[in-house]
Amino acid sequence: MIRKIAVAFCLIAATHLAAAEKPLSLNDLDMQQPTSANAALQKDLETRSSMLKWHQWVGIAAIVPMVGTYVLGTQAQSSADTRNLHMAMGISAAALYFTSASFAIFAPKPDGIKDTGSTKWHRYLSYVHLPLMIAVPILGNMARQQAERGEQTSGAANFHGPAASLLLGTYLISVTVLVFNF
Amino acid sequence: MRSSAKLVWSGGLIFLLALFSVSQAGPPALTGNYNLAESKVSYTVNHAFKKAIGISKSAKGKARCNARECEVLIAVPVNTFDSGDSNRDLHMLETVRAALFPVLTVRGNIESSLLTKPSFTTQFQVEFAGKTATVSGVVLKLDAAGGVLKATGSLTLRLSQFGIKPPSLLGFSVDDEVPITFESTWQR
Repeated sequence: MIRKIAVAFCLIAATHLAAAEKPLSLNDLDMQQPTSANAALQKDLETRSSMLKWHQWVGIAAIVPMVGTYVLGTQAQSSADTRNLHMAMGISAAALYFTSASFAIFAPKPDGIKDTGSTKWHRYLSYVHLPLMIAVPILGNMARQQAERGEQTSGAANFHGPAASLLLGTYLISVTVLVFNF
Repeated sequence: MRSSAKLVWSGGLIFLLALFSVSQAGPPALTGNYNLAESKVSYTVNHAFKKAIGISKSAKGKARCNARECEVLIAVPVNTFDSGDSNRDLHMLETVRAALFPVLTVRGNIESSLLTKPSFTTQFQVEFAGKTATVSGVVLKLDAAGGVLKATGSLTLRLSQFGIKPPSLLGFSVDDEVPITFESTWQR
Protein backbone atom coordinates (compact mmCIF):
# COMPACT_ATOMS: atom_id res chain seq x y z
CA MET A 1 0.00 0.00 0.00
CA ILE A 2 2.79 2.39 0.96
CA ARG A 3 4.69 1.46 -2.16
CA LYS A 4 1.64 2.19 -4.34
CA ILE A 5 1.13 5.58 -2.76
CA ALA A 6 4.81 6.40 -3.19
CA VAL A 7 4.74 5.38 -6.85
CA ALA A 8 1.58 7.45 -7.46
CA PHE A 9 3.21 10.46 -5.79
CA CYS A 10 6.34 10.13 -7.89
CA LEU A 11 4.33 9.81 -11.10
CA ILE A 12 2.25 12.92 -10.38
CA ALA A 13 5.33 14.91 -9.41
CA ALA A 14 7.20 13.79 -12.52
CA THR A 15 4.29 14.76 -14.77
CA HIS A 16 4.03 18.23 -13.31
CA LEU A 17 7.77 18.80 -13.41
CA ALA A 18 8.00 17.64 -17.02
CA ALA A 19 5.15 19.93 -18.03
CA ALA A 20 6.71 22.93 -16.28
CA GLU A 21 10.17 22.53 -17.80
CA LYS A 22 9.51 23.37 -21.45
CA PRO A 23 8.73 27.10 -21.93
CA LEU A 24 6.21 28.25 -24.51
CA SER A 25 7.70 28.83 -27.95
CA LEU A 26 6.63 30.13 -31.35
CA ASN A 27 6.01 26.53 -32.40
CA ASP A 28 3.17 26.44 -29.87
CA LEU A 29 1.61 29.33 -31.81
CA ASP A 30 2.24 27.71 -35.21
CA MET A 31 4.68 30.52 -35.94
CA GLN A 32 8.40 30.56 -36.60
CA GLN A 33 11.09 33.10 -37.27
CA PRO A 34 12.38 32.42 -40.79
CA THR A 35 15.22 29.92 -40.93
CA SER A 36 16.75 31.71 -43.91
CA ALA A 37 16.45 35.43 -43.54
CA ASN A 38 14.93 37.34 -46.41
CA ALA A 39 18.04 39.42 -46.93
CA ALA A 40 17.09 40.36 -50.47
CA LEU A 41 13.83 41.94 -49.32
CA GLN A 42 15.61 43.83 -46.54
CA LYS A 43 18.14 45.12 -49.09
CA ASP A 44 15.32 46.29 -51.36
CA LEU A 45 13.59 48.04 -48.48
CA GLU A 46 16.83 49.80 -47.53
CA THR A 47 17.41 50.87 -51.13
CA ARG A 48 13.84 52.09 -51.32
CA SER A 49 14.20 54.14 -48.14
CA SER A 50 17.43 55.69 -49.37
CA MET A 51 15.97 56.59 -52.78
CA LEU A 52 12.82 58.04 -51.25
CA LYS A 53 14.97 60.18 -48.94
CA TRP A 54 16.70 61.60 -52.02
CA HIS A 55 13.27 62.06 -53.63
CA GLN A 56 12.17 64.00 -50.57
CA TRP A 57 15.14 66.37 -50.33
CA VAL A 58 15.57 66.99 -54.07
CA GLY A 59 11.84 67.53 -54.37
CA ILE A 60 11.92 70.10 -51.60
CA ALA A 61 14.94 71.76 -53.17
CA ALA A 62 12.95 72.11 -56.41
CA ILE A 63 10.43 74.33 -54.60
CA VAL A 64 12.95 77.19 -54.44
CA PRO A 65 13.55 77.66 -58.20
CA MET A 66 9.93 76.76 -58.89
CA VAL A 67 8.64 79.61 -56.74
CA GLY A 68 11.34 81.92 -58.09
CA THR A 69 10.37 81.03 -61.67
CA TYR A 70 6.72 81.71 -60.89
CA VAL A 71 7.44 85.11 -59.34
CA LEU A 72 9.67 86.17 -62.22
CA GLY A 73 7.07 84.95 -64.69
CA THR A 74 4.71 87.76 -63.71
CA GLN A 75 7.21 90.26 -65.15
CA ALA A 76 8.83 88.14 -67.87
CA GLN A 77 6.84 89.67 -70.71
CA SER A 78 8.14 93.20 -70.16
CA SER A 79 11.87 92.60 -69.83
CA ALA A 80 14.26 90.37 -71.77
CA ASP A 81 16.62 90.04 -68.79
CA THR A 82 13.76 88.99 -66.55
CA ARG A 83 12.60 86.60 -69.22
CA ASN A 84 16.04 84.99 -69.44
CA LEU A 85 16.33 84.65 -65.68
CA HIS A 86 12.79 83.24 -65.60
CA MET A 87 13.81 80.66 -68.19
CA ALA A 88 17.05 79.75 -66.38
CA MET A 89 15.23 79.25 -63.08
CA GLY A 90 12.57 77.25 -64.87
CA ILE A 91 15.20 74.93 -66.32
CA SER A 92 16.72 74.49 -62.84
CA ALA A 93 13.32 73.73 -61.39
CA ALA A 94 12.62 71.18 -64.11
CA ALA A 95 16.00 69.51 -63.65
CA LEU A 96 15.49 69.11 -59.90
CA TYR A 97 11.87 68.04 -60.42
CA PHE A 98 12.67 65.25 -62.84
CA THR A 99 15.65 64.11 -60.77
CA SER A 100 13.36 63.86 -57.75
CA ALA A 101 10.70 62.07 -59.78
CA SER A 102 13.24 59.53 -61.01
CA PHE A 103 14.15 58.53 -57.46
CA ALA A 104 10.49 57.88 -56.69
CA ILE A 105 9.71 56.07 -59.94
CA PHE A 106 12.70 53.72 -59.79
CA ALA A 107 12.68 53.01 -56.03
CA PRO A 108 12.08 49.25 -55.57
CA LYS A 109 8.66 48.36 -54.24
CA PRO A 110 7.61 44.93 -52.94
CA ASP A 111 4.93 43.23 -55.03
CA GLY A 112 1.31 43.60 -54.06
CA ILE A 113 1.64 46.85 -52.12
CA LYS A 114 -1.13 49.34 -52.90
CA ASP A 115 -0.73 53.02 -52.11
CA THR A 116 -2.86 54.11 -49.16
CA GLY A 117 -3.28 57.26 -47.09
CA SER A 118 -1.20 60.35 -47.81
CA THR A 119 0.97 58.36 -50.21
CA LYS A 120 -2.07 57.72 -52.38
CA TRP A 121 -2.88 61.42 -52.61
CA HIS A 122 0.77 62.30 -53.20
CA ARG A 123 0.74 59.93 -56.18
CA TYR A 124 -2.64 61.17 -57.54
CA LEU A 125 -1.36 64.78 -57.45
CA SER A 126 1.72 63.71 -59.41
CA TYR A 127 -0.61 62.66 -62.24
CA VAL A 128 -1.48 66.39 -62.48
CA HIS A 129 1.86 68.13 -61.90
CA LEU A 130 4.03 65.70 -63.91
CA PRO A 131 2.32 66.33 -67.28
CA LEU A 132 2.14 70.04 -66.39
CA MET A 133 5.89 70.05 -65.78
CA ILE A 134 6.27 68.96 -69.41
CA ALA A 135 3.58 71.27 -70.84
CA VAL A 136 4.48 74.46 -68.98
CA PRO A 137 8.03 74.80 -70.43
CA ILE A 138 6.69 74.07 -73.93
CA LEU A 139 4.00 76.73 -73.57
CA GLY A 140 6.57 79.04 -72.01
CA ASN A 141 8.87 78.64 -74.98
CA MET A 142 6.01 79.58 -77.29
CA ALA A 143 5.32 82.68 -75.20
CA ARG A 144 9.01 83.58 -75.19
CA GLN A 145 9.24 83.40 -78.99
CA GLN A 146 6.17 85.62 -79.34
CA ALA A 147 7.61 88.14 -76.88
CA GLU A 148 10.94 88.23 -78.74
CA ARG A 149 9.09 88.96 -81.95
CA GLY A 150 7.39 91.83 -80.16
CA GLU A 151 4.03 90.08 -80.32
CA GLN A 152 1.39 89.84 -77.64
CA THR A 153 1.04 86.41 -76.12
CA SER A 154 -1.66 84.50 -77.99
CA GLY A 155 -3.02 81.08 -78.75
CA ALA A 156 -1.83 78.17 -76.66
CA ALA A 157 0.90 80.34 -75.12
CA ASN A 158 -1.88 82.05 -73.14
CA PHE A 159 -2.16 78.90 -71.07
CA HIS A 160 1.44 79.11 -69.89
CA GLY A 161 0.57 81.28 -66.86
CA PRO A 162 -2.54 79.38 -65.66
CA ALA A 163 -0.80 76.05 -66.23
CA ALA A 164 2.18 77.24 -64.21
CA SER A 165 -0.15 78.32 -61.40
CA LEU A 166 -1.80 74.89 -61.37
CA LEU A 167 1.60 73.19 -61.47
CA LEU A 168 2.96 75.13 -58.49
CA GLY A 169 -0.28 74.71 -56.51
CA THR A 170 -0.56 70.95 -56.97
CA TYR A 171 3.15 70.51 -56.34
CA LEU A 172 3.04 72.37 -53.02
CA ILE A 173 -0.07 70.44 -51.94
CA SER A 174 1.67 67.22 -52.93
CA VAL A 175 4.55 68.03 -50.57
CA THR A 176 2.26 69.23 -47.77
CA VAL A 177 0.09 66.08 -47.63
CA LEU A 178 3.15 64.02 -46.74
CA VAL A 179 4.41 66.38 -44.05
CA PHE A 180 1.26 66.96 -42.05
CA ASN A 181 -1.70 64.82 -40.94
CA PHE A 182 -4.99 65.76 -42.54
CA MET B 1 5.82 -1.01 16.48
CA ARG B 2 6.13 -2.22 12.97
CA SER B 3 2.46 -1.60 12.22
CA SER B 4 2.54 1.86 13.86
CA ALA B 5 5.63 2.75 11.83
CA LYS B 6 3.78 1.71 8.70
CA LEU B 7 0.88 3.92 9.74
CA VAL B 8 3.19 6.88 10.25
CA TRP B 9 4.85 6.40 6.86
CA SER B 10 1.62 5.96 4.93
CA GLY B 11 0.07 8.90 6.76
CA GLY B 12 3.07 11.01 5.93
CA LEU B 13 3.02 10.01 2.26
CA ILE B 14 -0.70 10.70 1.97
CA PHE B 15 -0.16 14.08 3.60
CA LEU B 16 2.66 14.91 1.15
CA LEU B 17 0.54 13.75 -1.77
CA ALA B 18 -2.37 15.93 -0.65
CA LEU B 19 -0.09 18.90 -0.05
CA PHE B 20 1.45 18.55 -3.50
CA SER B 21 -1.95 18.33 -5.19
CA VAL B 22 -3.23 21.37 -3.35
CA SER B 23 -0.13 23.33 -4.30
CA GLN B 24 -0.83 22.69 -7.99
CA ALA B 25 -4.37 23.93 -7.69
CA GLY B 26 -4.94 27.66 -7.94
CA PRO B 27 -7.62 30.27 -8.08
CA PRO B 28 -10.17 28.41 -10.25
CA ALA B 29 -10.69 31.35 -12.67
CA LEU B 30 -7.03 31.64 -13.82
CA THR B 31 -5.61 28.16 -14.02
CA GLY B 32 -5.27 26.11 -17.15
CA ASN B 33 -4.27 26.97 -20.67
CA TYR B 34 -5.58 29.98 -22.57
CA ASN B 35 -5.41 30.85 -26.26
CA LEU B 36 -5.51 34.37 -27.60
CA ALA B 37 -8.84 34.62 -29.46
CA GLU B 38 -8.97 38.31 -30.38
CA SER B 39 -6.51 41.13 -30.13
CA LYS B 40 -5.77 44.69 -31.10
CA VAL B 41 -2.25 46.00 -30.69
CA SER B 42 -1.50 49.66 -31.42
CA TYR B 43 1.73 51.61 -31.55
CA THR B 44 2.02 55.41 -31.59
CA VAL B 45 4.94 57.21 -33.16
CA ASN B 46 5.27 60.90 -32.35
CA HIS B 47 6.93 63.38 -34.68
CA ALA B 48 7.19 67.17 -34.58
CA PHE B 49 4.71 67.51 -37.47
CA LYS B 50 2.45 64.51 -37.05
CA LYS B 51 1.47 61.43 -35.07
CA ALA B 52 1.17 57.98 -36.60
CA ILE B 53 -0.79 55.09 -35.10
CA GLY B 54 -0.31 51.59 -36.44
CA ILE B 55 -2.73 48.79 -35.58
CA SER B 56 -2.49 45.03 -35.85
CA LYS B 57 -5.25 42.53 -35.15
CA SER B 58 -3.17 39.49 -36.04
CA ALA B 59 -1.43 38.61 -32.78
CA LYS B 60 -1.29 35.00 -31.60
CA GLY B 61 -0.77 33.98 -28.04
CA LYS B 62 -0.87 31.31 -25.36
CA ALA B 63 -0.97 31.48 -21.59
CA ARG B 64 -0.26 28.58 -19.26
CA CYS B 65 -1.45 29.19 -15.73
CA ASN B 66 -0.94 27.21 -12.55
CA ALA B 67 -1.09 27.98 -8.87
CA ARG B 68 2.20 29.87 -8.86
CA GLU B 69 2.19 31.86 -12.09
CA CYS B 70 0.96 32.41 -15.60
CA GLU B 71 3.45 31.94 -18.40
CA VAL B 72 2.48 34.13 -21.34
CA LEU B 73 3.73 34.19 -24.93
CA ILE B 74 2.36 36.62 -27.53
CA ALA B 75 3.64 37.00 -31.08
CA VAL B 76 2.70 39.64 -33.65
CA PRO B 77 3.85 39.56 -37.29
CA VAL B 78 5.40 42.99 -37.80
CA ASN B 79 4.04 43.35 -41.35
CA THR B 80 0.45 43.22 -40.07
CA PHE B 81 0.66 46.70 -38.56
CA ASP B 82 -1.30 49.21 -40.63
CA SER B 83 -0.78 52.93 -40.00
CA GLY B 84 -2.99 54.01 -42.89
CA ASP B 85 -0.09 54.96 -45.15
CA SER B 86 1.60 52.34 -47.32
CA ASN B 87 4.94 54.15 -47.65
CA ARG B 88 5.15 54.72 -43.92
CA ASP B 89 4.44 51.03 -43.28
CA LEU B 90 7.13 49.97 -45.76
CA HIS B 91 9.61 52.35 -44.16
CA MET B 92 8.70 50.93 -40.76
CA LEU B 93 9.41 47.41 -42.01
CA GLU B 94 12.82 48.53 -43.25
CA THR B 95 13.64 50.40 -40.03
CA VAL B 96 12.84 47.45 -37.75
CA ARG B 97 14.46 44.91 -40.14
CA ALA B 98 11.17 43.04 -40.48
CA ALA B 99 12.40 41.05 -43.49
CA LEU B 100 15.03 39.48 -41.21
CA PHE B 101 12.98 39.40 -37.98
CA PRO B 102 9.33 39.27 -39.03
CA VAL B 103 7.82 38.52 -35.61
CA LEU B 104 7.63 40.62 -32.46
CA THR B 105 7.35 38.40 -29.39
CA VAL B 106 6.39 39.22 -25.84
CA ARG B 107 7.08 36.76 -23.01
CA GLY B 108 6.27 37.05 -19.35
CA ASN B 109 5.72 35.14 -16.15
CA ILE B 110 3.05 36.76 -14.02
CA GLU B 111 2.74 35.73 -10.39
CA SER B 112 -0.66 34.35 -9.46
CA SER B 113 -0.90 36.77 -6.55
CA LEU B 114 -0.96 39.63 -9.07
CA LEU B 115 -3.68 38.00 -11.18
CA THR B 116 -6.25 38.39 -8.41
CA LYS B 117 -5.91 42.18 -8.67
CA PRO B 118 -7.96 44.11 -11.24
CA SER B 119 -4.91 46.11 -12.31
CA PHE B 120 -1.18 45.68 -11.77
CA THR B 121 2.24 46.46 -13.18
CA THR B 122 4.66 43.83 -14.38
CA GLN B 123 7.50 43.38 -16.85
CA PHE B 124 7.88 41.43 -20.07
CA GLN B 125 10.74 40.22 -22.24
CA VAL B 126 10.27 41.68 -25.70
CA GLU B 127 12.05 40.32 -28.75
CA PHE B 128 12.01 42.86 -31.58
CA ALA B 129 14.21 43.67 -34.57
CA GLY B 130 16.60 40.89 -33.62
CA LYS B 131 17.18 42.08 -30.06
CA THR B 132 15.70 41.09 -26.71
CA ALA B 133 15.05 43.56 -23.93
CA THR B 134 13.17 43.66 -20.66
CA VAL B 135 10.37 46.17 -20.70
CA SER B 136 9.23 47.28 -17.27
CA GLY B 137 6.17 49.23 -16.28
CA VAL B 138 3.71 47.11 -18.24
CA VAL B 139 0.25 48.01 -16.95
CA LEU B 140 -2.30 45.19 -17.15
CA LYS B 141 -6.01 45.14 -16.40
CA LEU B 142 -7.80 41.81 -16.25
CA ASP B 143 -11.43 40.86 -16.39
CA ALA B 144 -12.22 37.14 -16.11
CA ALA B 145 -15.71 35.71 -16.45
CA GLY B 146 -17.19 32.50 -17.80
CA GLY B 147 -13.91 31.00 -19.00
CA VAL B 148 -13.09 34.14 -21.01
CA LEU B 149 -10.30 36.45 -19.93
CA LYS B 150 -10.06 40.00 -21.22
CA ALA B 151 -6.74 41.72 -20.78
CA THR B 152 -6.01 45.33 -21.67
CA GLY B 153 -2.92 47.30 -21.01
CA SER B 154 -0.06 49.44 -22.13
CA LEU B 155 3.71 49.53 -22.24
CA THR B 156 6.36 51.78 -23.70
CA LEU B 157 9.12 50.52 -25.96
CA ARG B 158 12.25 52.56 -26.55
CA LEU B 159 13.60 52.19 -30.07
CA SER B 160 17.15 52.54 -28.77
CA GLN B 161 16.62 49.44 -26.58
CA PHE B 162 16.34 47.40 -29.76
CA GLY B 163 19.09 49.09 -31.76
CA ILE B 164 16.58 50.89 -33.97
CA LYS B 165 17.57 54.28 -35.32
CA PRO B 166 14.50 56.53 -35.06
CA PRO B 167 13.32 57.46 -38.56
CA SER B 168 13.13 61.11 -39.49
CA LEU B 169 11.10 63.43 -41.66
CA LEU B 170 12.55 66.73 -42.88
CA GLY B 171 15.45 66.34 -40.46
CA PHE B 172 13.25 65.80 -37.40
CA SER B 173 13.44 62.35 -35.81
CA VAL B 174 10.49 60.61 -34.22
CA ASP B 175 10.48 60.13 -30.44
CA ASP B 176 12.57 57.26 -29.10
CA GLU B 177 9.65 56.19 -26.89
CA VAL B 178 6.87 54.32 -28.63
CA PRO B 179 3.74 53.77 -26.52
CA ILE B 180 1.98 50.47 -27.17
CA THR B 181 -1.58 49.67 -26.13
CA PHE B 182 -3.36 46.37 -26.43
CA GLU B 183 -6.76 44.79 -25.97
CA SER B 184 -7.07 41.04 -25.92
CA THR B 185 -9.56 38.26 -25.33
CA TRP B 186 -8.30 34.88 -24.14
CA GLN B 187 -10.26 31.64 -24.10
CA ARG B 188 -9.57 28.26 -22.51
